[in-house]
Amino acid sequence: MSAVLPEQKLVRSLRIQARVIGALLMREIITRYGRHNIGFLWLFVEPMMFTLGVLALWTALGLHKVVLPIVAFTLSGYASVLLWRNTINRCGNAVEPNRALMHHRNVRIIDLYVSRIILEISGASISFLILSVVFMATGLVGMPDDLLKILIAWFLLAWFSLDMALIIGSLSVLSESVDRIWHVVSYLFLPLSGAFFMVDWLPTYAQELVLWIPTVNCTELLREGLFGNLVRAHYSVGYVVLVNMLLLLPGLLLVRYVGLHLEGE
Amino acid sequence: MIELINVAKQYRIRHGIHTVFSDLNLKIAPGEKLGILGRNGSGKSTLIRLLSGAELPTRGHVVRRMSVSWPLAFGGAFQGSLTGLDNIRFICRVYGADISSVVPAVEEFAELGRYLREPVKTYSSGMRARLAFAISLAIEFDCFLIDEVISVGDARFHAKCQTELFEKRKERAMVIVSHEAHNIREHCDRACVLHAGKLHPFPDVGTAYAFYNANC
Amino acid sequence: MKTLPKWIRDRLFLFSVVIPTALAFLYYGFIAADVYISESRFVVRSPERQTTSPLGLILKGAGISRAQDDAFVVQDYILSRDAMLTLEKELGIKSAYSRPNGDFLGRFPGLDWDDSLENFYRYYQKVVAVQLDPSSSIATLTVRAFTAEEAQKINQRLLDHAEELVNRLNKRAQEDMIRFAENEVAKAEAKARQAALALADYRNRENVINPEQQAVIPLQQIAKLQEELINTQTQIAQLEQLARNNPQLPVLRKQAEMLKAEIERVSANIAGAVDKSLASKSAEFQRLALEKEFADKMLASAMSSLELARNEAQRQQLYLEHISAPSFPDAAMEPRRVRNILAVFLMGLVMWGVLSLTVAAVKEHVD
Repeated sequence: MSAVLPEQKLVRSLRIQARVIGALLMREIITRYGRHNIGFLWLFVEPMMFTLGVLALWTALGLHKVVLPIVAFTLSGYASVLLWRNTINRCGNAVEPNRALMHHRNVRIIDLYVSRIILEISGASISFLILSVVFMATGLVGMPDDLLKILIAWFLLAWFSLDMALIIGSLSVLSESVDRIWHVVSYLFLPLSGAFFMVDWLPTYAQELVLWIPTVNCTELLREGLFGNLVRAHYSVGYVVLVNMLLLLPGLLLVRYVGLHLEGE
Repeated sequence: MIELINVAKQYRIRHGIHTVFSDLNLKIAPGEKLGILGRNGSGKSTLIRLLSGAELPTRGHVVRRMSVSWPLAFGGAFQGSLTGLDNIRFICRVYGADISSVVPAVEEFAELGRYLREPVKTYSSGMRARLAFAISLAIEFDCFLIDEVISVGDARFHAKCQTELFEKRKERAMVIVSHEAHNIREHCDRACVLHAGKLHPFPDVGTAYAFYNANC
Repeated sequence: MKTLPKWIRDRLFLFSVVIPTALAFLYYGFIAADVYISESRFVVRSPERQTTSPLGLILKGAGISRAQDDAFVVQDYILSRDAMLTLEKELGIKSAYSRPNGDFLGRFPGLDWDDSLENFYRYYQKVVAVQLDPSSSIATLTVRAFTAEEAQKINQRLLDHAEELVNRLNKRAQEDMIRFAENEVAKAEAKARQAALALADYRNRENVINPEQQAVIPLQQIAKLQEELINTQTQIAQLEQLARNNPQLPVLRKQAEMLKAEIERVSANIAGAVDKSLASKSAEFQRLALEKEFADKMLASAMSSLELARNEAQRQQLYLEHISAPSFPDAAMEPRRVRNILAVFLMGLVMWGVLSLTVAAVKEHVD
């Protein structure tokens, strides 16, 4: 290692990265939501339709008198699915459409992922926030019990999504089949994700199994934040933090590996 | 100044590892105009991407002490589904340039007219090259990396490039990669030949060209 | 990673791995106090309750049933402020946990200055744990303390209090159920006693035991007398036709008259005059006897429903049964020193990996 290497301040690099991610965000917004922001509306319409649909179904079946407020339950479930699924799915195909942009040296592969992750997480968060406010205003959803718990749960779920997005994203660069397999897996994972049940409803042996899944812990915490003592939530924040931390390592390693071995055109 | 120190670049291919080149050392001083000759597939584009920093070396270091453009080539550097204008904005943000001053300069230089508001994928490769030149000139790099595209456009555009790049910006460094010797002879002070994974430096273009003809 | 300046790598490694591991080594190696864990197991059993809601039945049929709530009662109690306060009053646990035989992080109030009971309650919830296995209702109560004796003592006390709680709950339930039945029995008893007294009173006053039975003999007498009277009258009629002047005739006539008089007298004794006759006494007697019989029956039914209530209460009773008594730990099982140091070291490595990769990723952005 020679002494001629210039020392670049971390802050300087960080500023450049922020600039690049900002530029990529603008670029992603244009293609994701279109010039006239009509695509942006789908962010709200989709979960709203789903929530109202489930509400209608439950009312028709006469099951709406069940212990939990079904609207808030469905909304929180779907919003959390939206968060992890969109974030991870969007990273499965992040590199190819942006390949040309990587001719610019500061557009690194991690910036492509990070900008898409930021965009999807904020999209899902804004959607959840606005729909909650709308439903609260119409009285379909009650006031949340503990905002901090909701924020923590949302943060943990976003963190998990980031980890998985980095892993799936970089793996799908290495092999195209990963993206397809992930799509199948994500559908299979949907009923297990904790979005549509409470752990307490399950028999004990199933509870123990299902709590190994990080997203289940997150949605449990989310529901406790929403419903307070109405539900007996099962979760462990420490476990989710541990898993998130452990998953971040292979995620970053894979991104780095892909960044070093991505072939030029 | 740009410096390559013991740079090696390898790609993983289906059967093992392909070494494009290894132990490559190169210095480009400010204002220097360097030509790089090499056959197709000899790794010229890879070298220029390494110089720009778009690709990282497998081993060794690339040191950049001046601002370096991205490789100006026929393809690449633009996002096809975005309009030319969006691409200008994107590149300005990435390089920290002022959008409001770059856009009019590019409009004037590239002469794309209303095409600037069409998606880049509808452009011909010449139009893309014009756009690339226009943007890189407007952003003002210390070193331009030019990959084969030196003779783009009609005679008028050619002349414009000539004045803007080689007269007004004489003091800027430049690396031109081409398999056509006349491009390099016209613009470069010295040249290197990339051959069989090694870079052979020559003090003048003539000897480089002789070596190139003899060996490649 | 090679593009990273050396000092950053070193410093990152220092801060994320070396220092935390060293601190963990210091703390767990030299400072952390031994923690003894006393463990006891008990089971809270209760009779099967009927699920009434149809949804509950459906869920139950699908194998989805809620965990037994009764065990939660005990768990809630053990982890409650009440239990904490009781232990504080009886054993002074707050000062026991504040003694310097615990290390400065482990003892109460730790790095905090707040030594209020509220803060201690939080500490208490860390020291005392109840784990429920809802399928078997077996609860495991673990108490951590800085000496084995304390751990065992606190565990024992908690168990005692939990048992008291269960007993109290049972007593309450039993009392509520049985009190009503007992009231009924008392009422019925009073009524039966009254009825018996009234009957006895009547018998003494009227000198009768049972008018109907007492009327049997006079009625037989009357029957006999009437038979004799008929015989006598038949004789008289025969003699009047065959031997009009038979000297026996006046005697027989006299006899018939006497018989008639006697029949009248005895009849009067049974049914005749208002106060004296057995018949008039019989009506009153019948009423009293009936009343007594009714009261007795009421008493018997009240008694049997009390018995039923007692059985029911017995059946619905909660049981707290000890499976294993609070153990006396002969060695400190916590802190798990080597394991914790290793965990800190490994987490530090992960942390370092993540941080250095992140820094490397940021550092790829150059002018």
